[in-house]
Amino acid sequence: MSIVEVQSAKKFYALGKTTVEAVKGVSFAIEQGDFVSIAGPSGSGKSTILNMIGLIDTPTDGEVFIQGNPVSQLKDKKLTRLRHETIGFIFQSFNLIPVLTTRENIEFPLLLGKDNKITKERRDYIDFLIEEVGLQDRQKNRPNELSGGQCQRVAIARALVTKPMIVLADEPTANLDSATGDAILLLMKKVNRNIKTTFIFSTHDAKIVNLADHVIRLKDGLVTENYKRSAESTTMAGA
Amino acid sequence: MGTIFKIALRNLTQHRTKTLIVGALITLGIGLTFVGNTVFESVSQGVKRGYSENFTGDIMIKAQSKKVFSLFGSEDFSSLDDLAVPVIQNYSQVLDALRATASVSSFTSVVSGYATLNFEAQGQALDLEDLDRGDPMFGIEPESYFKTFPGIKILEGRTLQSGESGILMSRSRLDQIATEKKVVLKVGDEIHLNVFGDSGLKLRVVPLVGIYQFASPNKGFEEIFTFVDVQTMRSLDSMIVGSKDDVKLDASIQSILTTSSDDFFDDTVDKVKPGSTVDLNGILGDKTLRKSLQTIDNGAWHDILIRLKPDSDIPGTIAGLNASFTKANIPVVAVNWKGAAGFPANMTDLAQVLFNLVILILTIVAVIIIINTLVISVMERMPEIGTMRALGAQRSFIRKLFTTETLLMAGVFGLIGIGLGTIGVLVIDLLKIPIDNDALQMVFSATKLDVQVSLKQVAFALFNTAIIGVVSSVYPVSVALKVSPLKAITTE
Repeated sequence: MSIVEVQSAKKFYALGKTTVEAVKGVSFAIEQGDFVSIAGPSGSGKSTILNMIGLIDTPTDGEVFIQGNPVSQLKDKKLTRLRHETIGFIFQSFNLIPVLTTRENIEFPLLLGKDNKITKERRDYIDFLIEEVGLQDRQKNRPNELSGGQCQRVAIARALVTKPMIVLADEPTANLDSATGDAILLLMKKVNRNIKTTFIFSTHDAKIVNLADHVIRLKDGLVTENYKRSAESTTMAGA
Repeated sequence: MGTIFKIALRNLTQHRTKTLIVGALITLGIGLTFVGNTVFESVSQGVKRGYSENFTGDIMIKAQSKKVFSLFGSEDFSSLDDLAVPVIQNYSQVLDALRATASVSSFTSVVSGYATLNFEAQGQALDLEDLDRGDPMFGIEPESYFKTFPGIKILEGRTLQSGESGILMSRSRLDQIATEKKVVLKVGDEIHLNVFGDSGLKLRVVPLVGIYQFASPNKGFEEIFTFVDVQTMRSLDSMIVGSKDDVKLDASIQSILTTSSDDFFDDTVDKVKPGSTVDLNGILGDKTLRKSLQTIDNGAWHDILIRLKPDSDIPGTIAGLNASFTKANIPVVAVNWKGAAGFPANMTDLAQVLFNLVILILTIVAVIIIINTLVISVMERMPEIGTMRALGAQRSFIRKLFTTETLLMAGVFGLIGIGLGTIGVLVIDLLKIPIDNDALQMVFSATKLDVQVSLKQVAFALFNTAIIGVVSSVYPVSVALKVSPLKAITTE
C-alpha cells in the first residue's frame, strides 16, 4: 500500500473574475521510505500538490489518500490531528517560532498532541535529533541568533520529532547558500536512510532532483514525468 | 498550559512597544476606576453612617402614597400641589408590628414640616427670603427620640422633656443666625415660629431649651435640623382632628355660600343697634363639634424612625415588616435610610453612576484601541499562527494562546493599576482633604475626605480587568482562528 496516493487531483483558485488552474488533474503514488522530488519550474503546481499532501489544502476535485485513507472530506479537527501524527514540515522560510529557543522549537510539536508530556524517552530523542543536526551548542539560542542553515537544521529536527511517516519540504534550500543547502539535503538524505522516513520535497534545482530516488516532474499543473531510481544511481558527493 | 503561558509571556516582552501602549491604557483605566470607586464607596459609607446615626435611623416607616415622601417632605419637585406629608394610618397596629419584630432595638415617631424663624421681636423685619426659606422642623417625642439617636449631644441647656413645649437648635444654625440676622440667641430665649399656609398665618412662641450637636458632626445638616416638641409642630402643620373629615352642610347653610358678600351689608338686614344685647354666640349656635374638630390630633405622625440591634439584617427586616403590613392591609411602607433621607442621600450614588458612565465610555474607547492593537499583532503573526496550525495545533490551542496573552497583559497591567490606585487612595487619605462647603458636607455627610481601600473595590477592579481582557481578546482571537495553515507558506 502506498503511503501517499494522489488521484486525479485538481486545484483551481479564483483570482478576481478568472479561475487559475494550478493543478489540472494529477495522479501518482509514493511508497514508504521514498526520497521524493516534486520538480518543475515556478508555477508548475509543485507547492500546491505539496500542500494537498500536507493536508493544509484540499483538492477542488480528485482525492488524496494518506495510508490508503481519503482525506478530502475530513473536518479541520481530524485533518489537524492527522497532520500532527503523520506529517512533518520543513518550510522554505524555516518558520520557527521566534520566541522559542532551538530546543523548545524542536520540542514544540510534541506539546500539541493529546499526549503532550515530555518523557525521558522523548527528551532522549530530542537530544538525538539535536546531535544529528549538529546544534548541541545552540540549544538555548532563539531563531534570531541562528544562521539560515542552523534555522533549517532546527526545522528538520522539528519536522522529525513526532516521528512522522512523511516529511514535506517546500524548496528547503531556496533561502540558503549553495554549501549550506547541500549540507541540509545530505542531512535529510541521511535521516531518510537511517529512520526510513518518507521525504517529499519540491524543487526546481536539478542538482537536488538528482539526489531523489523518486522524481515527479510537473509542468503547467500536469505530471510530465514520474519515475523511480535505484539508491545507487542518485548523485551527490558524500551522500 | 505551560507552553502557552511561556509563549504568551515571551511574545508580550518581545513586542514591548505594543504591550506598553495597551498596558498603559489598562493601567490608567483600572487605576482611575479603582481610585474613583474607592472614594465613592468610602463616601457612601460615611454618608450612610452620618444619615443613619444622625437622623434617619436604620429603617423608616411612612404612609403609602402615590407621591414620594422622605423625612424632609415631598420628593416630587415637578408640582407644588398636595405637598402635605400623609399621616400614618393604623398607627397603633404599626407599633404592634414593630414591637413584635425581634431585630428592632428602638423606634421613635416624628412629625415634619417647615417654619420661618421670626426675629421681629429682636428688631429684624421678616423679608421675602425668610418666608421662602423656612427651616425644616422635626416634631419629636423626646424620650424615644434620644433613645433612638443616642449620639446627639446637648452642648448647652438641656434636652426637651416629654409634654414640654420648646425647641432644640444646633450651634451651627445659631451661628448662622448670628451672622445673617445679627441676632444672638441663647438658651432660654423665646423663638417665634411662623407658618404661612392655606389656613392663614400661624405664630407659635417656644423657648430655646438646648443647643445640640449630631453624633457625626455635620455643619450642613445641623444648619437645617431643628427639633421642636411634637404638639407645636402639629399645630404649625395644622394637623387637627377634623382636617380629613367631610362636613355635610344643610340647605339653609349652603344657600349662604351662594350669597354675595355685599348682601351681608344690605339695608334690609336687621342691624344691631348700639347698646343692643343681641347674643352673638347664640347666632353662631352650638360650637362643640367645631371645637372638637379643631383639636390638635395627638395621634398623628408622619414617620416612624427605627434603630435595629447591631448586625441586624436591615433588608430582611424591611422585607419582613412590609410583608406584615401588606398582610394586615395597613397602608404604610418601610424603607431603608436612603429612602428616608431622600434626594440628598442619593446624590452620592448619582455622582458615582455619572463617574462610572464616564469611565465606561473611556473604557469602551480604550478597549477599541486595545482590540485594534491586538488585531495588528495577530496580522503580523499570521505566518507564526499558520506554522503552528501546520505543525498540528488545533484551533483551541490558538484560542488559548491569544486569550492567555490578552488576559496576562490585562492582569499584569490591571494589577499595576490597582497598585497605583491604592497609592493614590492612600495619598488622598493622608491629605485628609477638608470639605468646607456646606452643600458638599451634606452630600458627603463629612467634613473631610476620609477614604479607605476596601477588598470589595480590589475585587471589583480585578473583575473589571478580567472583563477588559476577555472583551478585548474576543475579536483578535476570532481573527487568529481564521488563519489557515496555508499562511505558513504563503505569507513571507
